[in-house]
Amino acid sequence: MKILIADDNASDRFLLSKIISKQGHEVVEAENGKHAIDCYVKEAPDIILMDVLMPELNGKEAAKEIKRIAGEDLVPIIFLTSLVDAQSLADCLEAGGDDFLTKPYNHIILKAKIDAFVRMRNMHATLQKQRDTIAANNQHMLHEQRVAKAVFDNVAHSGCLDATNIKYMLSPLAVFNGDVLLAARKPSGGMHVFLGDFTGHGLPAAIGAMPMAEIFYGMTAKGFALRDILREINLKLKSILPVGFFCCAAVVDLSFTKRSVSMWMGGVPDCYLLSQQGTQLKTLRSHHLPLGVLSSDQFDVEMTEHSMDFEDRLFMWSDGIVEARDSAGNMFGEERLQAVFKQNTHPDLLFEAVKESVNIFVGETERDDDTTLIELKMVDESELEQSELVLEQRMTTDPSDWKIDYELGVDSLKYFNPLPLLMHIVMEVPALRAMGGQLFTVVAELISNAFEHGVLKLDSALKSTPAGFVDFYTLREKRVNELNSGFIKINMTHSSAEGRSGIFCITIEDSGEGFDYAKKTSENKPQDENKFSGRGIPLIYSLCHSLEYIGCGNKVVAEIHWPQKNVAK
Amino acid sequence: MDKTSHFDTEALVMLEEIMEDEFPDLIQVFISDSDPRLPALQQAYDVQDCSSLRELAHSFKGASGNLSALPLADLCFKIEEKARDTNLDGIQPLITAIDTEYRVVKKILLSLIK
Repeated sequence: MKILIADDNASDRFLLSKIISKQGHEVVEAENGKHAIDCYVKEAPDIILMDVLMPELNGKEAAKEIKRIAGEDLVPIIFLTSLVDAQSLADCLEAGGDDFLTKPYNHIILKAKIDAFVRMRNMHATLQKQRDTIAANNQHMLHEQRVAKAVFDNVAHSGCLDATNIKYMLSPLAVFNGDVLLAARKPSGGMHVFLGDFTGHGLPAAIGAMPMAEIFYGMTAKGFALRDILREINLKLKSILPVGFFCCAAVVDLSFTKRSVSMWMGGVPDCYLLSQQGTQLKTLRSHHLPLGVLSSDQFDVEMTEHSMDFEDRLFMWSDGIVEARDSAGNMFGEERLQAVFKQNTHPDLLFEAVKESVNIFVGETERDDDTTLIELKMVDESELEQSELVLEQRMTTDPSDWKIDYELGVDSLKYFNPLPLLMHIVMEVPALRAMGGQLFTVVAELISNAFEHGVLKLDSALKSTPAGFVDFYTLREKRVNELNSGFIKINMTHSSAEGRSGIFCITIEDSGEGFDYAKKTSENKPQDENKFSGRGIPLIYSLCHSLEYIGCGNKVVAEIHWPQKNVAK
Repeated sequence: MDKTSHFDTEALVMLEEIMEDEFPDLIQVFISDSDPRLPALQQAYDVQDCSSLRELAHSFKGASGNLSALPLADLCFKIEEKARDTNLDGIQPLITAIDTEYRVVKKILLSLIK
């Protein structure tokens, strides 16, 4: 250690210097306060022994200045004094001194004090080094999180969480507490919503969210059913996440036309379905294991269906709501949550009421910050803003003139749903993507007609009564099982005039016997629209530029033009 | 000369042990530091400069205390206190006493390093 001795008394300095060098320290001497400051700056001593009364600048003033220069560095200053009254000694410490030593010197006490300050100085240096390391690490981590968050936002950005029928609360860095909230409009109309809660926090929790969001948005946009999406997500998470990591989730298929929700819940707290102007509260319980736990063959995609009228609301949350803690460590709990719903708050204000209730309960306690909450309201789809299928100015790499022939044999017909594949091809054309819902309906309807009425030879008239409906599906299953011959041929073409207009044409031919389409079309006048059956032809008519049956009726040609002007009525 | 009435002899022995062969140097430094202090004290008293009196006495007290010349340090302390209270009564006898005591102390110290 290098020790600075500042004393104007030559004999005192001499004595002290001798004692200290004998203890193995290096000594620097100063004979007044000014000199002491210069020595401190030049020599950077580890400990300073300073006389209180000195000419030029007294010890207290010098100590203040040295402490100011030292800043965060610890420079112990021990005052040397023959003053013995309590106030004088206290003044020394007040001036920034760390200790004092009274004259005449006792070399044993002096040694003990120096040793103590050496220990303190070492400890302080270690502390400072560790603090700097921690600060640097933290800085680094925050930077990484911001970058990762930006990447995640780009992946998740295609969603429609801002739709008018959705209210949600999600912490700004939610992806790092493992909570995920995704929502996407389906090309066929309706909406998929995904509330996920990964085990753990931080990067391990966030890392699974990326592929999951990709799958969710990608497959939803291509028209895959929610079951298929769930199966895919489960498979993906199962294969990439380490054992013990999984994702609790509440997943919703919201249908605005059927006015219902299909739900899949795995490992999440109960969700609430509020209906009848807020008077009916139904609790929906999780029946599945979280995503990423079971292998594909054990994974169960069974969903529960609940009807929802206009203005009915579905509330979902991560366990952060129920497990929010107050200052005493009590949990918010389901009872308090239910109580909020029983206060007869107007349904429009419930979301805020839940938020507020949790906030008041938690109070000043530090938030765990993983409380995710979402409310879905049933509305008429037309009330939602146009889904963001913006026609971007794309490069000329989009396919504009193409044609495809696709034929399905018996096994494919039995086990394979060709819709996502076909829609995927169609959706590559930006203008068609904007009409996705409409196209999906047309293609889906025509293919199902070809299969059920053509290949399977089922009579659509069966579906005219509710009982017939059941018969229809029983018979359908039987015929699918027994199917040993048949085909569906699909031909799709698209042509475009310089990217400003275009014609999409789909021709579907089946192995069936056809039907008397002239009679059928005359029967299906618009007033029959709400009938159960009728091959959905009126609906398709309304969506297409033209719809034409050919030959015996086992071949149909539908044309859709864009931009849409004269839609056939 | 009787050391015990002018020094804390135990402390003096310990001081000698600590300083080893530099003990004579310490004595020399003390003496060359202290010799000018007596005329300085007298001078300060003559012009009734209390703050100088106080500083000189304080410094002298510290130095003599460290050499375990405790009676000398006590006399210095008395001047220091009076000067602090700007009370010049009885200072002259104290200066005379310090002068006498210092001569003895100096003699004893010098005898130690012969």
